[in-house]
Amino acid sequence: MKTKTILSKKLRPDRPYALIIGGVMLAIVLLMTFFPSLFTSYDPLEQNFAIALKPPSAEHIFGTDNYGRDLFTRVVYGARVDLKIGFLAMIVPLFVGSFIGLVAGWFGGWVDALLMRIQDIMTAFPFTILVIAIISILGRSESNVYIAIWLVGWKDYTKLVRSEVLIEKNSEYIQAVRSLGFSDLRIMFRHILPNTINSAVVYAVSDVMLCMLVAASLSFLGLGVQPPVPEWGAIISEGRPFILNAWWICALPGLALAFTGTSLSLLGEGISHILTNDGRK
Amino acid sequence: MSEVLLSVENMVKQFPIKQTMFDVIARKPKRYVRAVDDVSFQVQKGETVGLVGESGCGKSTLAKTICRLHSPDGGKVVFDGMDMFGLRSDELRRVRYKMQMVFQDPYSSLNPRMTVRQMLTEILSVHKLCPKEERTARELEVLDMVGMGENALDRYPSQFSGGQRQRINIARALIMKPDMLIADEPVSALDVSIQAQIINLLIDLKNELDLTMLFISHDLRVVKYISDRVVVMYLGRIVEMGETEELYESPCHPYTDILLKAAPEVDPDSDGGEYVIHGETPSPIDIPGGCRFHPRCPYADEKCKTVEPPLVELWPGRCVACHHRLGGQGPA
Amino acid sequence: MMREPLLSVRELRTYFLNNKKIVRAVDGVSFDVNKSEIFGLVGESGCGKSATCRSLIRLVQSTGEIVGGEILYNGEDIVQAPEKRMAEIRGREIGMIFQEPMNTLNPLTTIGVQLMEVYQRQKLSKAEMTEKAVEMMRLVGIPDPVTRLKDYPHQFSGGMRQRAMIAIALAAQPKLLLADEPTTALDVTIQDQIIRLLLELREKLSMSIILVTHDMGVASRMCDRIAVMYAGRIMEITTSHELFYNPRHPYTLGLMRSMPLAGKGVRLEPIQGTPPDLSEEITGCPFAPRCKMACDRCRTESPALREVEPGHLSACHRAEELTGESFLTCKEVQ
Repeated sequence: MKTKTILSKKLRPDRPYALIIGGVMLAIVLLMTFFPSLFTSYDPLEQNFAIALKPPSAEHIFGTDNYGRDLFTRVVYGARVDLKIGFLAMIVPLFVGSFIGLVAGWFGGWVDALLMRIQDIMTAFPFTILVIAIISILGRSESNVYIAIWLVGWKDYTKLVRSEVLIEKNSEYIQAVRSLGFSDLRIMFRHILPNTINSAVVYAVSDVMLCMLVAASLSFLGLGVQPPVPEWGAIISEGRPFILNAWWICALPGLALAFTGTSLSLLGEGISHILTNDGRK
Repeated sequence: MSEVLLSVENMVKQFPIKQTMFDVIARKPKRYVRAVDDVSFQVQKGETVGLVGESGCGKSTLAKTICRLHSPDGGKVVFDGMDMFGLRSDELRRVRYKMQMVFQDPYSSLNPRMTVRQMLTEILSVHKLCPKEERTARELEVLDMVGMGENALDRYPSQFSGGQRQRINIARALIMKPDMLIADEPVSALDVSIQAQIINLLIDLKNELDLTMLFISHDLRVVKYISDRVVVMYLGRIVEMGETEELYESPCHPYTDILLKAAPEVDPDSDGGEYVIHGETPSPIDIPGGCRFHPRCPYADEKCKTVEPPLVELWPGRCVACHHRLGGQGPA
Repeated sequence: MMREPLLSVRELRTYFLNNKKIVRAVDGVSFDVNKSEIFGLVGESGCGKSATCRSLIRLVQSTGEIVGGEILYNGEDIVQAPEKRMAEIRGREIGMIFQEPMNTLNPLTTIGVQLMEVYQRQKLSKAEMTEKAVEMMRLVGIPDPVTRLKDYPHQFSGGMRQRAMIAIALAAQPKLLLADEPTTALDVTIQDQIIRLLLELREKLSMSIILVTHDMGVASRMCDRIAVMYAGRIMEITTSHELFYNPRHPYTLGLMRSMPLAGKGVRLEPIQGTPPDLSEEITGCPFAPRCKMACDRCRTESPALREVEPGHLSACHRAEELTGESFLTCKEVQ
């Protein structure tokens, strides 16, 4: 009977492909971060005008840039810079934003109203524009890139966590621990937080990519990491004048960005699958 | 005379209705749903009081306000000599466990990320009423009381069935040795055969531990079986209360009468009687004037539409709020 | 005299897929429903009563499917019918009402539009359709039907919504109505109204009803015959009177003893343990692990549903030993 075959087809176990593929891709990037010399023997800063603007070849697989530096080497060394920015820019908003969301959701009232209005105002401006504005006030530097992203990035986590807290707050198990006479702090951190943090954690994984992109665009605009540090956005920016006759300088670092981005979003998807599928069993 | 453990006096709980931006601009007065409206009753030490009523009658809100899970909007609750509404929040936290609640939904009432042991240990450690080395013993004792063994300790809620979860819920409520248990529809989400297990358990525990119980349910059969006295609520007010047997035998309020007749009897030869009730419970936002029940009451007259009947005591222990009370010949 | 049944279900099997395991929700169910009869499917949650009901019009969830058996409706096998024919059968021949009308009615269109949709196939004029719709609303006891046609589902109260859903289900005058826990979400007073309405409609329209419920009280009020289900199988089928006064299955008896029918002080006798996991192979009688009467035969050999008395079927090896027990023995000890 045809119906039976459908049932048996569904029986095949589905493996967490997203997690595996994403994990392997990210592992490659991490390897570049910690052991760049495994991938290349060139120096990212060594200039050799004799071979400037050479297209990809066996010797220089990504080609060379206008200073004759090996592009592949610069991309490999750039992974360290970009991942560091992405991770550091994500981690602070994750903690601070989630905390604010927890406080706003749990206490409600004017605290909540105030925090949410601030958040609304910030949402009204595009993310990057706001970051640029803050950097132009603070001045160009790598540390100011972090500060600017921190100042803007918390609101997404707040929004996510707060909405989950509002749901969880009214569930019966929270009422039960309230009637047991537990303190607010204990209920917030021991009972509500573990049940609401999931979506924020999943978002954080893909947020690393978002932060990297912002940082790359800032470098591209000349506001972030300053040359000659090999940062992907900066490399693309440097290649811009030559885009018509040396496409590889812009395209291949872009590919690296896309590769890392894909790995992170696959990883995020895989993690969310595990977390929603009850990390409870 | 036995002593009063819980006394609720003129309790009011209302919830504001969310206004639209337009309402705020037009300065419309804030409107409220009066979920519990001037309710008074007492629970004696050691008795089981059943609280019945249809959905939206305020029985659950009443229970949660007694436990101060909702903040009250008026009235007084005296529990074991303490004015519950007058307590500061840190004082409240210290006495709260003496009055424990068992909730309806066996699924959402347990934290999915904590094992039974973590759950119980936390309670003991927060209140510091039990030395560390005796904790496990106490946990096992309370699990044993609810008919569960040691192997339950390190499991997560998702590994239990609905009936077992309800047992864990009861264990959690009992571990601090409360004086009173407020059970909010504790068996409504369970199947009949499991329901019977939990009812037996509650009755046994009540006798063993000398508990006082407020048992809230919409199921008249269960309430009849478990309670000594019954309180009937309709739209936020008490319409009738009295001894269980007496109230079921001869209801004095037309609503009680209808409620009892409408509950389908388990009897294939019964045709449900001739009596039909018309209409449905009005929304608690627009409570009818006069007697709240008059639009559905077969005996309603002009007086019922304008004058709200007070809750009067017919004889000790029996109160009714109706202008046209039925039968009720008094205690035999 | 042999009456031809309206619906005849034979060895119906509906399996579901849950957590990579096959759940035998309906596992070899057979019963007949006669013309203008109210047939009850009762049992506890997870016993397969709802899945059986939905299988009858092939509306099982996407994770499950009918894997065997036949459903003969007026001699036509519903299991094998092409999808196009199924669409005709649903509604016109077999109607269905659900527990929660708010999830079944379309919140974005008026009750009138949803009701008149049914008549659109019959190519009636607008006026005729409105007239029929009003007539239907009157039939199910919705006051002021002409104006209420223009109301949206959220403007109806719980009981009225249930009436509206019944009106829509009955609009095409089906000969069989499937009612899946139609009163479970309602308060007792409203439940009483809906029970009376369904009983009255059965008389007026002489249709058959299959009532799925977990409430023995509702089942005893409404049904002519009742099938008790457990673990995806039927344990007992008989008339409602027989079931309560002369139950021939320990599970049925256990259910009755679990109900607080007697007064205070008479201890309830719950069925111990919990129902079996339907994703695992069951050998012998599925009820055996919880049954006080279980013997070795019960644990190895699955009992077939057999006639223990004329018109009284039971799936118990030891059905004959259960005589003289009834729900009254639980009720009268007081």
